Amino acid sequence: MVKTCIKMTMRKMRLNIPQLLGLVLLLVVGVCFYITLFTIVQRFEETAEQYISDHAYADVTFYGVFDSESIRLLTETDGVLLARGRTVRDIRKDERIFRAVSLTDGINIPHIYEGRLPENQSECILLKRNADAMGFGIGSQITLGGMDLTVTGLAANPEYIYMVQNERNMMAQQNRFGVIYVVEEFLASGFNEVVVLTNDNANINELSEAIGAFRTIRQKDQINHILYRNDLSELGSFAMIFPLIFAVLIAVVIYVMLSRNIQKDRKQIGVMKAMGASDKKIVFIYLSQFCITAALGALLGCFTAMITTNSIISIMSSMFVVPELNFALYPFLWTAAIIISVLLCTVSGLIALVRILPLMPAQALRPRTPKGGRRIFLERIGFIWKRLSFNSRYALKNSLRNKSRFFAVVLGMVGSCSLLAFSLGFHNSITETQNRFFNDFANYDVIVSFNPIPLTQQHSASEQIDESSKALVLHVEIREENYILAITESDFDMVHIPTAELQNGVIIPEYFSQMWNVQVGDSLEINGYKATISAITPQHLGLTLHTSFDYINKLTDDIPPLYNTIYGRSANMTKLTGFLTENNFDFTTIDDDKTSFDSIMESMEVLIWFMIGCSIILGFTVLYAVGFINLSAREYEYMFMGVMGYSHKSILLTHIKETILQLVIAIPAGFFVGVLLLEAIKGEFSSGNFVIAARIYPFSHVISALAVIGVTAVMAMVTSRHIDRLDIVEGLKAQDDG
Amino acid sequence: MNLFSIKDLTKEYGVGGAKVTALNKINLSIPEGKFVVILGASGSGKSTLINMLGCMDTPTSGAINFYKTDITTFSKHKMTHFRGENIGFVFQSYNLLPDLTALENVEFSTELAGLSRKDAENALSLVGLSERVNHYPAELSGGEQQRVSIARAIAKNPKVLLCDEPTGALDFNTGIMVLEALKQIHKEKKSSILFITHNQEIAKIADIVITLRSGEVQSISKNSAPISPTEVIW
Repeated sequence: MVKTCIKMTMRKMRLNIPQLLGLVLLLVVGVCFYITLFTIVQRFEETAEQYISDHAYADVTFYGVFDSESIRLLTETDGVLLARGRTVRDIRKDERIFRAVSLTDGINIPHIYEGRLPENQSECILLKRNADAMGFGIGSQITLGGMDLTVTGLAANPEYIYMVQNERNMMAQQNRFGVIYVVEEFLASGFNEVVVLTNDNANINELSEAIGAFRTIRQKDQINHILYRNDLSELGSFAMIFPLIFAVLIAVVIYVMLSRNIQKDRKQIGVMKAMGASDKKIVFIYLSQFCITAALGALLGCFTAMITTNSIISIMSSMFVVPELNFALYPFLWTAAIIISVLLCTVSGLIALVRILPLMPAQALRPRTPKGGRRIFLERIGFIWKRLSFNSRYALKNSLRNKSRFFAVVLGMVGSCSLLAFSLGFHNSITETQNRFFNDFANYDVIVSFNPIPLTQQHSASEQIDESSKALVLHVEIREENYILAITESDFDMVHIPTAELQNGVIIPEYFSQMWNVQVGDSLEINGYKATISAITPQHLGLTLHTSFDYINKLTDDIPPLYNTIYGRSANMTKLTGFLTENNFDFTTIDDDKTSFDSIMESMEVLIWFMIGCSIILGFTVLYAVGFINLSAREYEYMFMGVMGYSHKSILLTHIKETILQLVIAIPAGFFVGVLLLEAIKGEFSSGNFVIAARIYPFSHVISALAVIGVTAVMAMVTSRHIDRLDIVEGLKAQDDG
Repeated sequence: MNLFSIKDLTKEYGVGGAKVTALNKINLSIPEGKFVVILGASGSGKSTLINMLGCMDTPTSGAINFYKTDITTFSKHKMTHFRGENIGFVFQSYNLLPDLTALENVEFSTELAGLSRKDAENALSLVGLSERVNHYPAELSGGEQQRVSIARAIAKNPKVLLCDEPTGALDFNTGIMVLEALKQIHKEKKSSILFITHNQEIAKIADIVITLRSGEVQSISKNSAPISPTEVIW
């Protein structure tokens, strides 16, 4: 029995090749997407964890002014495994800023790609990504602060997995911001940072107080690690959400495909039942072709993922550097993908089969009872109905008579349209996020940062700035997490926030209000003080809380009247940046911020384009598969119309009119579902640094609609050719014979 | 011994809101080893009766004993098993599986019964189709297809062959050929055959003729001198 069943299965597969190929393509895309992203996440996590551990990345970094004695004290404290002081200084050299970091023995150990560590004051090692971007190599000379440094090695360091200059300038341009490691003597001054390795016994707050640190950052709070983890988390979300959408579409396609095949083979199934074939055998014959296809598609998807994973890893490596990162095969992942694919096909196939299995053989051998014809609503509106051609009336009635087939095609169109609208919309949302920040929120041209000075004192940088505003930008603790608070002057207008509310409390970003579940008027504990929320503003990048010096003074005396930041606007930015560069000020312009944002988005762009590519293939495949099924379902009907004397053109016109009706329903529905999808997942892609502004631009809607219409038109052409080739006599005979 | 003993067999179909009685309290006994023709016009209940006898459908009420077992009490699984083991079907429209060759169509049946390929080849040889075993149904004539269908039915050595108007779709000469094949099988294998037809001429080849009308048994007659299929004219 098995032998004949297998033969039957294989021959049915041969007959269904066009549909099965569509299914294979769906599975290849879905599985490739899933495996690629999960492999990347898994590889980054494993390799990065190893990298961090091997290179002893500091568990905590203290900032302040420290001497050898305080470091010795720290070393002797319970919970501290190793503590090292270091000096970190940003030195401007023309358009570039070099961050010179003194090497610390046993902590934050650089990974050397080539060359060796510096041995004296005239040597340094440079991060390889900077060397590549700036055109330096081993033996190159860098002159900083009047001293010549020779590059002796090219390196990477876990503290720069992401190339972050600071919280204000998140993604540094690698040819403008570089990191060099030097011997301690090169920066001959006291330590301004202490890096520490700890164990579970360490009480970080006590340690911080003991050495008088003015800022403490744990490894998990380091900005480059936050960004790196955010990216990994986004990858994980992509890997979870999209294959789910793909799975739903695949299930629909299989269900429609198998329902159609079963309906077509109803009589054959009746014969098999009459001959004594059990339900199990019938299930085997019809389901095994989909299971074989699923396993094959999933396996091909796994192999395709090998190529895409490596490509995406190499693109992402330019964003976050984890040495020795490459593709690795995870047999568990592959097995899971294949099993899930086969199960998905089995379950959707079983749902379709369940309708025919309970039938008695005699019932299955009889043709299906024709559906009762009913007047449709439009028929009651006589003046419209009478004006319709027979073709239009037929198309309309037919659509409503065969609702399940009609809506299966609509569903395929909705799926394709929504996936495309969603993918393009995701890309739009990135642009929208950028626009909302730079056009609607930011109202400054430059930000200058410096060590805190009294509010009464005028900073020399402000002399050249047309309009400036002072601010003290601090790290504060809210609900045991670090956030940025900008304490500004009362008339601060360098960002678009309700300035009047600065006097009445703290203005918080909308994302935080949702995260903390707080409203205007509620109180919020900041560094132990209860502040009132005076306003909530939409903010999408580098989320910052704002308040005024006046309000802070009402709240506490602990914060001295100092400022460390100037926000400014200038009519002549070239002149201003020239002045700031010349005077070695630490500054970022709005253009720097835009470039920084673009750099951060580069990693997401890779994913978005990968997703758009997958969505296009998936959408088209669904349309193709559903269109093909629809065509095979209507073959007999078209043949019968041919017998009745309808021309090829009339038959095609009927098909086109029905398709237009389907498109009219599907495209708006697709747009709606696309927006829903975007709204549903935006939370997954938002964090304390980046809140996505969900938006699908009209152009993306147009593209999605045109793509769906285009593929539908191709299917109409295939239909036309098919109708042309129909052999009326043979076809009707075959239908009668079953 | 009776092959089938039918008592008060009723089958009703619901069509829309209306109820149609296809068989109305039929009582019959069909002896073993006979060539029985069930004669009747279209809508008389012949096919419904044969479907009940072959466990292809379930009656609304009444009992059918196959030898001494009431098959109307069978579960779906048991009915499937019963069909596979005891019944061979020959349909008017052949109903061959289009994806399988002639031999494979017969093998589908023999494999179900746990028999070998040789049995399938023998059955095809018995209906004179040894030369056409590797042809697909679409490559065979109507008569050849019907003979494959007969081979498929007899290959598993069923207790009874249920033939639902097997000559209905065939021309006269091919129809006679099919009748001859069935008669030969009846003779050689001593199989019981229940043959449905509306053709009174064909009824002359039977041992017993049961006439149905509007779902009821109109008459049962024994044919003391059945004619040979070659003598049938219609």
